[in-house]
Amino acid sequence: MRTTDFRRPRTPVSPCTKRGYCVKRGRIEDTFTGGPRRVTDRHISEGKENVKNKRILTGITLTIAAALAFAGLAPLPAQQGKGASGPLITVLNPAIESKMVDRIPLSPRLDTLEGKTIYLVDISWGGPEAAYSVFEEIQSWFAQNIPSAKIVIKRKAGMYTQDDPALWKEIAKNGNAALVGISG
Amino acid sequence: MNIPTIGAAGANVVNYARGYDFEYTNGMPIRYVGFPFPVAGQPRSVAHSYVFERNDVVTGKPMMQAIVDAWTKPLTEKEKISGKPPEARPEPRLLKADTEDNLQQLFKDMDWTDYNPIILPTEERVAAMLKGTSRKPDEVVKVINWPGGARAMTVEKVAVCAVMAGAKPAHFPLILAVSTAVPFGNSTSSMANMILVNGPVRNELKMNYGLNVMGPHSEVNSVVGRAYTLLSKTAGNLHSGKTTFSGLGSNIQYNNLCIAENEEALPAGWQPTHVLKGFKPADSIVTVGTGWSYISSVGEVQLHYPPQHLIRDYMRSLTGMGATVIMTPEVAGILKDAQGFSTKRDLSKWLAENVEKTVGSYWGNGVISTMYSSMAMQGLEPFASQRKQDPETMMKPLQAGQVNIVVAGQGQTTWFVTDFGVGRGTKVDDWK
Repeated sequence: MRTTDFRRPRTPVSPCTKRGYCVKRGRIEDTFTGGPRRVTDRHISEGKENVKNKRILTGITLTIAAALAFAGLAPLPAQQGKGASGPLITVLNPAIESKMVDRIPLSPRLDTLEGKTIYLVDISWGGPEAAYSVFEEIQSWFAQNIPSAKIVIKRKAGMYTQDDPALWKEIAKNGNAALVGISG
Repeated sequence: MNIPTIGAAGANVVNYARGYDFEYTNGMPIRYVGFPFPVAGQPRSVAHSYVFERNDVVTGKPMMQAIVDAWTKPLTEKEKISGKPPEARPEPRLLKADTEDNLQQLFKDMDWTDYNPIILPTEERVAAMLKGTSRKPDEVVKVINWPGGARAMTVEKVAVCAVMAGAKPAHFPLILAVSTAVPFGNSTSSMANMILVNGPVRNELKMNYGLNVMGPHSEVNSVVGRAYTLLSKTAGNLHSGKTTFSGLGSNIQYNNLCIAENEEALPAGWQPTHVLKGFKPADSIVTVGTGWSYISSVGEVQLHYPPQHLIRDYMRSLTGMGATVIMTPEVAGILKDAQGFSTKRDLSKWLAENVEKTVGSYWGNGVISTMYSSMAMQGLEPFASQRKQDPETMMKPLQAGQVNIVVAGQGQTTWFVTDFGVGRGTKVDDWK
């Protein structure tokens, strides 16, 4: 009984392996079993037909793929990385120029805070306890570290967005420095 | 004041104050100290630590050293500059030509979109959009000063965003009317907007005011709401971390609750919102409201608990700065026929008289405290008296004129309570 020797190298020796089908009648070596095989006219005819069908199928597949690509169903160029090719488009800019405002210099600074009157102005952001409690702690720090400085804590009138000219006038008259806050 | 003055801000906004606000709003290079965030709602021990133990987030110095330095260190040359500012970065009308994919990416990189794909605003598309109005392309609709920059928003700039949002020329007058309220609500809390449309334009444009009115089921509701968002980012210059600092933001900012009122289904005697504000029924009006809260009734009305009672219960959680109740015609019908509210105003009055919350809860809201506490402390009424009451005392936070009733949707007995304050409204036909 013949058995297949799978250790044997399967070197293609038949003309069938070059074109995908046999072109000559006669005995060839079976590429799978390694044994002899007889090729007839029917084998040659069927082989030609099979290869032809495969080529048609491959052609149809490629045509569909190309059509899909043109239809936009293929992967988008953006998915292939920046700089993808394509027609150049000109579009309008949605942004609007922002104008900067005139510059106003700061007031000169003090040489020392010793003996000065300093206003801490609460704009009430976050409620009546938020900045106010921080300002009381600042007042405490001054009492310990620069006791000659006078700390005045004030709440600005109205909502945080509203001006308070009376308070600014008072500070300009009586104060040497101010801190305004705390927004957040 | 002509004395050395420094600003104090939380770490969340101090860079905005020192950068954008300086360049585009006040022009003065104010020396800021930055406190750790948050400042509000903290026990005294935290306030103590901020002053005695923590560092200024701007300079990295111990807080009090930074404060003393800001008052005493001599001015730098930059701090002495006065007069004209540097030239602003020019914004050419056209962008450099590029591929569609690169332009889509550019618009995202510039934060000009809501990060959904946009329609690129080619000259042809914008020209077509401009045919939706008789206004000239260079006409200034509004100069936007907040956030600062005095940006002149022209009809053409609005058309650009209308194209980007996917709108059609027929939608353009409505979008122009909406654009007068740009940008959308911007605060460190979750502020948002509501766009409400009344009058014939609803049917002319086939807006949805029926089934699923608040959902993504209508082209016009969708693109008009989206255009408002895109305008807020382009013309409004709202960019996260640069000019907007909301802790949570709001999902409503994607579409801005763009709805129309179901006027055809109003119970007899109930007038449309725009008519209650003094417009004629035949006027097409868009109203933009601002608020934070948006609460669904979840289930349908029950016989044993009248709808106005449950609406009242839900409204207790609102801040008390205003309210808009959006209900289906079916709820409105029950309120009219079974509960005897013959007009919207009757219902608004009843709700104002019956919505109560504790004084502690009212003042416990940070927006209320920030807005009104200083006035209470100055003795201004009714805030002064309210704030003196025991925290467990019940109070009525709303007045009848602050409670708006909108009828929209169909097919279920559900409703939303919101704290959206509704403005007066803008005529759409003025923008045709």
